[in-house]
Amino acid sequence: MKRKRFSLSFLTRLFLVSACACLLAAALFSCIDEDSYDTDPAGNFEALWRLMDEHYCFFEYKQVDWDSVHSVYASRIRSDMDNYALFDTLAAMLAELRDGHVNLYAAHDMGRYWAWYEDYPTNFYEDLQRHYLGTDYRIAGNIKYTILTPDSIGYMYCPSFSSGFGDSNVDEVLYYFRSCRGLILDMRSNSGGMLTYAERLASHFWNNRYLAGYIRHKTGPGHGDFSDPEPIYVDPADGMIWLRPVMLLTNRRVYSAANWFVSMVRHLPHVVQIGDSTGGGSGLPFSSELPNGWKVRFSASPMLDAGGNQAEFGVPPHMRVNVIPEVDFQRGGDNIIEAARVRLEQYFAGGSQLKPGGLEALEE
Amino acid sequence: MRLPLLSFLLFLLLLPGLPLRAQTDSLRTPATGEALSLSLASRVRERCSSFGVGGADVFDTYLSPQAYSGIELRFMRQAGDAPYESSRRWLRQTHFEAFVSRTGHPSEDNTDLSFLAEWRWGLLHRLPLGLPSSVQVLLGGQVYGEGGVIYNLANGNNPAAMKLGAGAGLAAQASWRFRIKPMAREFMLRYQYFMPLAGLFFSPHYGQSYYEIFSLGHSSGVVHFSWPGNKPAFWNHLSLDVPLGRRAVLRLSYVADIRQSSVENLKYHNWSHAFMVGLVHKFVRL
Repeated sequence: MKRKRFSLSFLTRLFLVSACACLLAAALFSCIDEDSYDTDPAGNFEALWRLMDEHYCFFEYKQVDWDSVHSVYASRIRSDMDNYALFDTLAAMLAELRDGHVNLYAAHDMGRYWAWYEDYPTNFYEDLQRHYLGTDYRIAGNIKYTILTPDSIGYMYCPSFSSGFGDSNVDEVLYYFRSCRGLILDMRSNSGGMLTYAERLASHFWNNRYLAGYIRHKTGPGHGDFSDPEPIYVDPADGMIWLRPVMLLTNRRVYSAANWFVSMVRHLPHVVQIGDSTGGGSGLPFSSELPNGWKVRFSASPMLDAGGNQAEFGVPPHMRVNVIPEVDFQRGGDNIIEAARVRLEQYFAGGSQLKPGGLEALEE
Repeated sequence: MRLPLLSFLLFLLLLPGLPLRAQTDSLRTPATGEALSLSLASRVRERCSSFGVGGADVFDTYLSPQAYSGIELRFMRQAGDAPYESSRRWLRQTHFEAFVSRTGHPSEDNTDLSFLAEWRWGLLHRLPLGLPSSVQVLLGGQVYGEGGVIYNLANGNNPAAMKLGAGAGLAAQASWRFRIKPMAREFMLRYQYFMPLAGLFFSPHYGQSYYEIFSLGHSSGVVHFSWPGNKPAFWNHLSLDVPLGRRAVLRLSYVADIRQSSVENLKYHNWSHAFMVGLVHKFVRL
């Protein structure tokens, strides 16, 4: 029996050629897989070193020679070391970065660098604060607030940005202070939390859109691979806006999102930062992990203040004042709060400018 | 006499879920007439909803440098012109697929939860290869849209990786209809393939946070052109249609779904496979 002649149309041939080309391309580019590391001490060390090498954002700013760090700590890795010794070695390597946002988490411990506040005066004691808050203060969200007498100064304490407060909470606080001439905004020992809470609070302190700072992100694994700084603006809140003098109290334990809040609002002309420098922590942290399951946190995305300055090591105050425990506990007063009240009183009396050295220009 | 008969046949054909076997027999009845048979045959459709379970291997360096593995649940719904019963040269196909997976770090210390849904629509052309009528090879294209998320339970400011994309790709299908004696109805073995060729997809920059993209609105450059070089993906589906009784058709299938991307120095893959079971419904749409 004669077989039918087999022929393909042009369209069919085009389809077949296209299909073969696609399948070939698929084979060439098919596998996107992880970089494999052993789960032994050397494998975990190399994984951690490389993770930080490619993602950590402050190598150049802090002038850390990460290659030499590798040399130093690789020599301490032994194949027979137990998990505790490995953890301590890896945590010590991370501490070379001098960054409170860098942590190593295992079931038995958390590797950390806390010298950013441990090496400095505390400058905040709840027992001293109680002299001002008393016991009948109000709480809106997590904000504790009251009116100090007899000088009619509002006092609000924001201990954290981890637990939330809404615009309505801030509105209520500021409305309560409507008869006050000035405000003491106590951020001491606020170790941060959500950036959005910081920006929400900052939106109640100026009635126009203002430049709060900049953010950059890494664009590649190189130590200098960064995007251009992108401006961050704060839009005024829809509710209450506070434009009277603000004494912003800070200590070294003001960190991360709280540090960001301070760097945003301290440039406003009616805000004076009093106390100690903040602790810093201006890198937005990311999380990752090692082959053995230990978690890692690290600064991934630097945030700059409105002047384009790094705040990783803290924001200095306009007026440096310390709590003097031996004196303050004796007299029953907080030296930083008292300094803020005196400053406000002098300003209201017309005896001084609000900020030392005059008003800072607000960058729009 | 002819009109009531035609009406009756049309009524039968419109019954949802009515097996095509009965319909095609009716269409082939001389009493239906040649013209009507062709007209109806061009509208024979099939649809199948399948559920399955399988394994998944999820890897996204935005979340972790480690690949996670675990279990996946998958739903798939395919609808379109029936490959053998329809007389069309270009077969229309609509495809919807969604899956959820729970995968874990090799050390079992962390978990990813993933969800992804994809919709596709396309046309496949019957290739005139001169093969026996029981064998068909189709080739064509499909447009697609996909969306999903991988959520890492332990991460802080980078807890999730969003997956969004759309584009067009190559679709192919080969099928063989056969009979196993003494069963009267036919089985169908079919292999389907889809590969995205070009489109757009979302990816943050290397170290960019979603806070920066969505809260601050710094979204420049997060939409990327996709091609097999930076987003190689292959969807493979092998199915066997098993006739049950006089009407029902059971579809047993295996799907191997390879989704990958490499852009902005961020690598991602979701390799999954699942065994699926579904019921096939054939009908005529007028």
